[in-house]
Order: sequence, then C-alpha cells, then structure tokens
Amino acid sequence: MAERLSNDFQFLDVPRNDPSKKDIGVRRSQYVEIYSPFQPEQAASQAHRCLECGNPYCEWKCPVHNYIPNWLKLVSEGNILEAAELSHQTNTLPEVCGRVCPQDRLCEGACTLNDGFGAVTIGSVEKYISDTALAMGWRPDMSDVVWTDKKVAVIGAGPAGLGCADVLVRNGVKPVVFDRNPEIGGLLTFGIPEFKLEKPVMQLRREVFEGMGIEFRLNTEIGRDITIDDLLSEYDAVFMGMGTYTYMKGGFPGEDLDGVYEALPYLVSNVNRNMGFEQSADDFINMSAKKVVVLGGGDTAMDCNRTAIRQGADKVICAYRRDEANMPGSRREVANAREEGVEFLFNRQPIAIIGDNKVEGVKVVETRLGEPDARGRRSPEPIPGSEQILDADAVIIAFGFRPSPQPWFETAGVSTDDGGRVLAPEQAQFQFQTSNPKIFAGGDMVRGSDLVVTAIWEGRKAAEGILDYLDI
Amino acid sequence: MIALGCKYLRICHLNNCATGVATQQDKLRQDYFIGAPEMVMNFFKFVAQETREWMARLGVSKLEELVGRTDLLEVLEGVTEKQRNLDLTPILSSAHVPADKPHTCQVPKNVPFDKGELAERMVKETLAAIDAMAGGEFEYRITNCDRSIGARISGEIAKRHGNQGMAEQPITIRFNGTAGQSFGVWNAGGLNMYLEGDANDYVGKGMTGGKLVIRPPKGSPFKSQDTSIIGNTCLYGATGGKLFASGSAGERFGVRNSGAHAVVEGVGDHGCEYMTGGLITVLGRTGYNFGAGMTGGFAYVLDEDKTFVDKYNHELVEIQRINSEEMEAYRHHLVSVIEEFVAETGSSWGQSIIDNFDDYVGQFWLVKPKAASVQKLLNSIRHRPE
Ligand SMILES: Cc1cc2nc3c(=O)[nH]c(=O)nc-3n(C[C@H](O)[C@H](O)[C@H](O)COP(=O)(O)OP(=O)(O)OC[C@H]3O[C@@H](n4cnc5c(N)ncnc54)[C@H](O)[C@@H]3O)c2cc1C
Ligand code: SF4
Repeated sequence: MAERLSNDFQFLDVPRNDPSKKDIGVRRSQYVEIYSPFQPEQAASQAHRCLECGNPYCEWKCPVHNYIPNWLKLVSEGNILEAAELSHQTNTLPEVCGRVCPQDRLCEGACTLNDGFGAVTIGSVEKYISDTALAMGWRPDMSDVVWTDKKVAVIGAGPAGLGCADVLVRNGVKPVVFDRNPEIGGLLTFGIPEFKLEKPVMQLRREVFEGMGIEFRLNTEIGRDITIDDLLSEYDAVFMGMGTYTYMKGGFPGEDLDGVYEALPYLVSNVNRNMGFEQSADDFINMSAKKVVVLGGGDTAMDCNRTAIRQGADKVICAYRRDEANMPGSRREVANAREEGVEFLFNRQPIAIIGDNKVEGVKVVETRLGEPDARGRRSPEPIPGSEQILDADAVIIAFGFRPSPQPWFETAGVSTDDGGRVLAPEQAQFQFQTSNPKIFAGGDMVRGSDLVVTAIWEGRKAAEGILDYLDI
Repeated sequence: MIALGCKYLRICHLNNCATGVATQQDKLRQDYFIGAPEMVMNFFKFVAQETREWMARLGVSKLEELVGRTDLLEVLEGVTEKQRNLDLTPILSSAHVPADKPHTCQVPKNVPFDKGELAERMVKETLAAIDAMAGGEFEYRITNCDRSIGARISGEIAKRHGNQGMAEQPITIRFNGTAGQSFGVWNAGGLNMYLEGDANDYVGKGMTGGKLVIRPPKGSPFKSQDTSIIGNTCLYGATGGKLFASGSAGERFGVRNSGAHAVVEGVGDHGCEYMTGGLITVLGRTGYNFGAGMTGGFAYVLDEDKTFVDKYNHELVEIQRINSEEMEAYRHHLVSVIEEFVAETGSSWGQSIIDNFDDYVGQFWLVKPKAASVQKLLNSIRHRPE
C-alpha cells in the first residue's frame, strides 16, 4: 500500500481537482456520464484536503448528515471497505447522491474550504467509495440482522421508497416494494438522464437490495393492479413514496399545439428507447435536426436541454424568466449545459406559443426582477414593449411538478394540504405518519418536488417511525 | 475570535487554521485572515447595547446596582429530571452579605507599596535625551526591590517616537547589582540595558525592541554556563529585540516568543514553549519538554551530553544536525550569533565555543517546527513587527 498521507497543509499544497470531463464530442452525442471516475491516488489525495473541522459544516448541511470528514479520512488512508460501511450508515444510495446532488448548494457549499481554497470534492469521493467497494464485491453487512415477523408494503421504488426499505430490512422487517414502472429507481431511472447517472448504477443497486432481502414487485400499480385495502390488510404498515407527477402548465395560449412537449414524457421516451422499454416507435420524441426552445430553469430543464443536444438538435435555446443567479438548479449543470452548446436567454417570460396547428415560435417578453418577496425571492415583472419571437420547431415545457393525490387517498383516510401534498409531519410521535396511523409517507409527495437526497432522508426517517409504530 | 473570522474549526493546535486566526503560516495569515479591529469593536458595542437593554427592562441604570441582586434572576424549571432535582438556593442566596454593608468595592484603587523610585528617577534623568532623540549613556545601581526597570522609559519612548522610533539613537544604561522582577519588560527599540549582576523572573517580558545584556560581575570565579543568571519565564510574549545572558535561564524560557532573538548558556524545563517566531540559541543544557507547542521560529541547542533527544517535546518540532554540507548557511549564521553574544557579554564560554567551533559544531541541534521548511527558516526570522 502507498504511504499514508499526513500533511496538515494538503488543502494549500493540492488544489481542488474535479474528476476530468469526457471529450466534448462524446458528451454531445452519447448517453454516458460526463465525468471520468477518480483514480485511487487522486481520491486519496483529494480526500486528504479535508481539514476535519471539529464542527463539520458539510455534515450539518448534508440532508442525510453523512459522516463526511470520517469517510474522507478513511479514503485518504486507503480503507475503502470501511468507508463504504460508514457511508451506508447514513445514506441508502451514496453513489447516486455523489453523482446527482447539487453539492455546490449542499455539502461542498458549506465546506470551510469553499471560502477561497476550493471545497473538498465531497460528491466525487462519495461516489468513488461505493462504486469502488461494490466493484470489489463489498455488500452491506447483514450478519447481525435479527428477522422479525413483520412486513411492510412500500409504494414507489424511488429514492424515498428505497430509503425506507433499506432501513426496514436492516432492522429485520421485510419490505415489499411495489412500482408501476418496469425498473426500480423512480425518477432516477425514468427521469434523470444517463449523462448524469448511468442506468447500470441502479441495476447493480437492485441486485444489492435484493441480496439484502428487499423484494420488488414491478409493473404493479397500486389503485389499479392492487388496492390499498389489500395492502393494509396484508401488511403491518404501508409506506408511500410516490413522487409528484402533475406537470405544471404555463397558462398561456398555444400550449396544446403540435410540437409542444412536457419535460418528463420527453425524457422518459428517450430513456425507454435507450433501455429497450419502448412500447412503440411512435412514443419516441426526437429533437434531431430541430430548433428547440426549452422553457424553465431547473434541473429538469437542464436535462431536457442536454438530451436534445445529444439527439442532434440544430439549436437549443433555454429561456428562463429570472436571471442566472436566481436559477433554482445546480450551477454545475448549467455550466455543463452551456459547454455542450445550449444557449441561454435570461429574463425572458413566455407569453404565447405561436403557430398554425404546429409550433412555429415562442413569444417571450423581457423581464426585470421586482422587489424581493417574503421568502427573499424576487419575482420577474415584464418590461412593456420588449416582446420578441423565438423561432422553434419544438418546445419543451419544464415548469416543474405538483403533487398528484390519488382518488383512493380519501377512502384510505390519507389527508393532504391544499396543494395536494400528503400530510406526514417529521415532528410527531411516529415520524412521517399520515392521518391513517398505518400509512406513512415521504419524499416529493410530502415535501413537494425536491431532491433525491431529501427523499432518501424522509424515507429513512419514516422507516424509523414505522419501527417505533410496530414497537421494534 | 468569532468576530474576527474564527469558524470554530477546532484545529487550532495544528497551525493550519484556514481562517488565518490561529496559525503562523504566512499565506493563511495574509490571504485568509479577514479580521479588523472594528469587528471586535462592533461585537463589544452589541454586547454593551444588549446589556443596556436588559438593564433598562429591569429599571436599573448602573451595573453596580446589579451586583448581588440574585432576586432579579428567574430559575428555569429544567428540561430533564436531573435538572429539576437541582436545588439552586445556596448559590442564589445573598444571606452571607450583610444588608447594611456595600456590595461593591468602595476604594478607588489599591495604592501600590512599591513607589518605583529608581524607575522614576531614571525617567527624570533621561527625559531630555528622549525628547531630543539624542540618545546617551547612563549608569545606576540596582537592587532586587527595583521592579520592571526600563518599562517607564520604554513607555516614554514609545509614546513620543513609536516602538522602534529611537532604535537608531539608543539610550544605553549600565546597571550594577541584582534586578528585581521584570527587568526590561516591554522594552522598546532605542533602549539598551546592560546589567552586571543577575536578574529575577520575567526578564524581557513582552519586549519589542532594543537590547538586554546580562553578565556576571567581573572577576566572578564560577563557570557562567553552569550558573543561573536570570529567572523563569523570560521573554514571555516578546515580539522583538535581543536578549543576551551569560549564564543559565530558568524555566519556560521564550514562552510565546514571536520575534525576539536570544542567546543564553542554558535553560530549564519547557524552553521555547508555544513559540511562534524568533530565534533562541542555548549554549548548554536544557530541561525537559523543550519546544512544546512551538509552531514558529527556530532554535540552536548545544547538546554536549547527548541527552537532548530525550528532552525535547516531539509533537510539533523536529531536530537536525547542522554539520552537513547543505547546512553551511546555518553554520555561518550560528557563528555570527555567538560572536555577537561574546562581543556583548564577554562570555568566555562563548569565546571557547567559537575558538573550537569545529569540535562543537557536531553537537549542535537545529530545532524547528515540523511544518516549517529548512530552506525558508533563515528568512523567517527577519524581524516581523506583529
Ligand atoms: C428530470 C429530473 C431531473 C432531476 N434531477 C435531479 C438532480 O440532478 N438531483 C436531485 O437531487 N434531484 C433531481 N431531481 C428530483 C428528484 O429526482 C426527486 O426529488 C426524487 O426522485 C424524489 O424521490 P421520490 O422517491 O419521492 O419520488 P420518485 O423518484 O418520483 O419515485 C416515485 C415512484 O413511485 C412510483 N409510483 C407512483 N405512484 C405509484 C402507484 N400508485 N403504484 C406504484 N408505484 C407508484 C413511481 O413510478 C416512481 O417510481 C430531478 C427530477 C427530475 C424530474
Ligand atoms: S448526500 Fe449529497 S449533500 Fe450529502 S454528502 Fe453526499 S453529495 Fe453531499
């Protein structure tokens, strides 16, 4: 083994080094992750930059409170298996979070070194730990698990459902996870594109989870193939992590024209084609050789932009109504989109989609930011007379998602708030319990669409609530 | 400290504080320390403001009126079972203070017993030379009742010309006798004091410039390198200046020194403790725990009986010989340091080391913080006003 690093000044002597990105030609045409993996020496040398602050800000900021300085130290010492074990104590999908978390707003944004030194590459190291350990054959240690006779139904195999099942199974409770999709992952599989997260990652995870004793029943929709009543009578408790799937509309004329697409079906059609889940060739939405306008400024919009580039679009314009500093998504992904050739138009609000039967353009008006609202976000106001038409053969609408409460919630006694979010408070006797004591919920459907890592956290906490509820 | 940029990293002991607060690393101090005096001023203004707000709520206009008023405190119920079991009445009771007696100190100050007569006389006699920046030579007898000698003059110099303002036209004072505590404390540039005799603890405490030279009385029969000449904790927190003592110093020599240069012929335990800068040369035995917490500056130590390896504190410093080829610059430097020492003190021990330097050079150690690079050490000791 290489000599153990011991340099209190590593953070000064060695700059932050992100893993290298692949060639731009590859990035513009292929559905592969754009970052090359860390080499072992590189991971150790970067991890060793950590100051081990006695009060680790990264750890507090990370929504699942990963033991970041501790596993960074293990990596710098070359103890990958120990690091993997530790990393899994707090996170169900570390290698996924390492890839898709907006680290610049979370752990790395809070890193002490982010103030002028360059934050530690926390996300890349987190990904490196699990990728490497799993490839070495490491699997979670289940030898101490004492099985109980309890079983819990989990609806949704997204990050929330998987987080819940992970904690349940480690405590000897049998989770059975139902999903209407043909593969696990929720939006990780049917949403987030391959250039951020390659699909074999989740396929390997499925093997790992099944090895731990989690059972998956896919292609099964609750409310259609199985009723909630069946679950309630067959299982000791139910967890719902069903996400948010109502597409937000712009509310302007022309949204129904031919050539206007919703973001998620667009992305999913591409995934389905790549993964061989496509039912009929007509379902595929192709931007090849088209002038594309993407409306929106979040992670979803960025994924649409970059998918269109890879499909061979002539030109991709992303129009967003606020300025760049006020974009909600990860800055890293905006930079990546720009590198790949996406053009950004800031401070443009769409007011109509134009065309006879078929899209011909998008009418936008320039905006400026008004006074900050109560939450400090500044709403854009249109500047009169600044209208302009952007030529387009296709328009993708990525305005975000709202909850999709199911008709059976009412009969099952599950209450929602006015916006349709399921009520399942974290601060309660049983964390994340809904108004039906036997049903728990977490993730996007409870907090509104958010992040992978927050969904994992809620799933895990809900599992603790369930364990308390079942008196285990 | 938080007001000055400390982020509570709790790595203060490693010398790598990323906020530049608790480190001697130049880059961190220069590029990353954001502190300014106004930040601390603001902090205290807020503390005072909040204190006043609370006092106003209590209807109290002076802090004196709050002393002993435990009746104004409200006892919280306690969150845990254990807290609820606490009986706080004994510490909240004022019963032991008679009600008719005052609760605060009623005398303006304690008049010191020591009137500092020698110090005042010295000021009177040197003031003209200070005012005129003329320099000059003076002579006094000193006894161990005379404490903090030199401080009054340094104060007058600093007030008029700044800490180093008279360095080029120094006032030189020669003493005979035994100095009391704190000889040369806060010594300013422009005050050089020569003492024939010996001195108590705290010689050169907080000194920033000038020179302190202490040597045994002429014709003393004892060997200076085996005899104590100055007491404990000398150069405590010194930031500059030079101290030469032809004899042994006591314990904690050079503690928290950040810039002074000193040569002595031996030291007690804990030499160079927490030192962050400057240069200490010991031409003889040291005690235990040398270099504990030392993060800056460096030292030369003559180790004739080969015990130093067991005596220094290995945590933050490392030692190396200076007789190798690449250490030539250090050998020259050491010779020049001892030569200056001999010229000032007339030490025969120092002279014999120079005369036989080839025999002694192999017994010297260079002591330096592990984090410091040998290449840069010599530059780092150039005087750095804090
Ligand atoms: C395009 C896109 C890009 C994103 N990029 C990022 C990113 O880079 N980083 C990040 O942190 N977050 C990102 N997000 C957000 C993130 O994906 C979600 O916040 C997260 O997946 C929410 O997890 P969840 O488990 O709550 O829901 P989901 O991931 O939506 O999972 C819900 C699952 O429940 C299943 N389900 C629903 N109803 C039923 C039913 N009745 N019966 C059976 N199964 C059902 C669904 O099929 C789905 O598989 C992105 C989102 C999108 C849409
Ligand atoms: S889970 Fe996300 S926020 Fe937490 S350490 Fe990993 S990348 Fe950072």
